[in-house]
Amino acid sequence: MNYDLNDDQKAIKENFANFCRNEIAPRAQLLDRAPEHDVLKLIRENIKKLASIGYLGMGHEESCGGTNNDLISQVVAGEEIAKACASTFLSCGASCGLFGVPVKLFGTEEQKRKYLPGIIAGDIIGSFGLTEPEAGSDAASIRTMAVKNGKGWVLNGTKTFITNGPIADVCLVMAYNDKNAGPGAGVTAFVVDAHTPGFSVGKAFDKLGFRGSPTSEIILEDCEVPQDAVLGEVGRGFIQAMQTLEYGRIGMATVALGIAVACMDEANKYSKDRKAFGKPINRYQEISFKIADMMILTDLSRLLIYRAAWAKEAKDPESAVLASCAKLFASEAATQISSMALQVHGGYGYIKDFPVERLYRDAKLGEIGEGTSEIQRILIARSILERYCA
Amino acid sequence: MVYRVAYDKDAGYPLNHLHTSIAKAFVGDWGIRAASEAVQIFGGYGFIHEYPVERMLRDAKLAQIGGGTSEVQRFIISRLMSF
Ligand SMILES: Cc1cc2nc3c(=O)[nH]c(=O)nc-3n(C[C@H](O)[C@H](O)[C@H](O)COP(=O)(O)OP(=O)(O)OC[C@H]3O[C@@H](n4cnc5c(N)ncnc54)[C@H](O)[C@@H]3O)c2cc1C
Repeated sequence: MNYDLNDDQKAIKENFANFCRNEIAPRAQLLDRAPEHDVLKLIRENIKKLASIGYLGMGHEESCGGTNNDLISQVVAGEEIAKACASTFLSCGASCGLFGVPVKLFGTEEQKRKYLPGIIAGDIIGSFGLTEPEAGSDAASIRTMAVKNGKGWVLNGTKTFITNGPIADVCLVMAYNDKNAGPGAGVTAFVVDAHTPGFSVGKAFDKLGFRGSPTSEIILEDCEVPQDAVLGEVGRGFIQAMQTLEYGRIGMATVALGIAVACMDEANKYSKDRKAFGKPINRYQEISFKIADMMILTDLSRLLIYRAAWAKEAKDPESAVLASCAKLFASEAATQISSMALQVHGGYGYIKDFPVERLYRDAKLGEIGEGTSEIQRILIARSILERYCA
Repeated sequence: MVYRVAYDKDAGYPLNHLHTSIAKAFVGDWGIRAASEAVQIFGGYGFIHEYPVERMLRDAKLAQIGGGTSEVQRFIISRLMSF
């Protein structure tokens, strides 16, 4: 067991910290406040910037233009990006992760060649379409249907809350090809190009946080895709999606961690300078204990994420439940930390001139996306109960 | 967190006060929460001597006090962080 980053990981941390401080952080506020049209342009540019320093290829094979880094290295880089701009992290993650990872893990050689080099270069943007208006936590109840015709498949249904929907060139769509076979054998994942006739994108949602990462509906109306749009094999889509979400949960935990670290930085800076009753406020125990609590929660979040990433790399059968633990803890920690950080700022925390206001709004998504806190507790509890009943 | 403190020690690193205080504060506070939840799950039986959870709840309290109270750990952490 090892608690030190290796030299490579330390270098990655420093590289990404510098890059994000100069190139990403200064744009975070702009991205948060820009009107929809500008957001689409700015976020594309940010994805391209991160592609230019290799972030989108970290989890991908060299044959596709990636660098095949371990998951901990990806988390280390991701923390720096999320700390600078959570929206940028989310949109990159939806493209190279939620879309790119299943293509890497389950796609045919042809699919990998067609999409991954572009995703890694930031020239193609991907998205992941599982959630529907009537199927969120209960993802097995999706209604999108795929019907086989002569040449391929015809898709009908509506996806919602799709990160990158408005900017994506391609979407991984989960649909039932055989409702009677149930989710385990009757769902197929389709790689659908956004310009396919019958594929349309709704207006970007007006959201509480992550305003720099556009989210929308995707509507499929008699959308015809060829046979080779099937990701890997017919009938494997639900399992592929669940396996993808295991990585996604580590990602969502990482974004929560980045937000927490940013909150802590802001609270520290502010409480050192702000004076009340003749002393810097960080000399008051009510403030300094908040700082201590933020540190404890942040540190434990990071350890849980590294542990989950490490278990995943080691193919530990516990890795799924560890990813849920990390995601649950880090996201709940981030909402608490953002609330404490805002409190430390007093009234100034409530106005948009200080970054903590955005961080507070962004933090909440962690408890919702990639499976809510309630769903994580169900998954964790189920895994422990099974152990005791076995 | 506790393993990391042990790891630091085995690796021969100088004492890392941040790591030790974080571990002590969190685990100390968490222990009593876990013990209290365990008693709650047992309901009335959790409150009587026949079951071990009642002792665990009493024992857990010491971890917030001995070896530097939870408050002292927070004092150390905040001092290391912000001054
Ligand atoms: C900004 C954003 C980006 C997103 N990006 C994507 C994306 O790229 N791709 C994608 O497919 N999806 C995406 N999602 C969707 C997200 O994964 C869902 O919102 C989430 O899974 C919850 O589903 P829901 O919103 O339908 O809530 P519901 O499932 O309706 O849940 C409502 C409430 O009920 C609780 N609940 C539900 N079932 C249970 C139960 N059995 N026991 C106890 N409590 C329960 C939930 O925890 C929640 O508190 C995104 C969402 C947001 C907000």
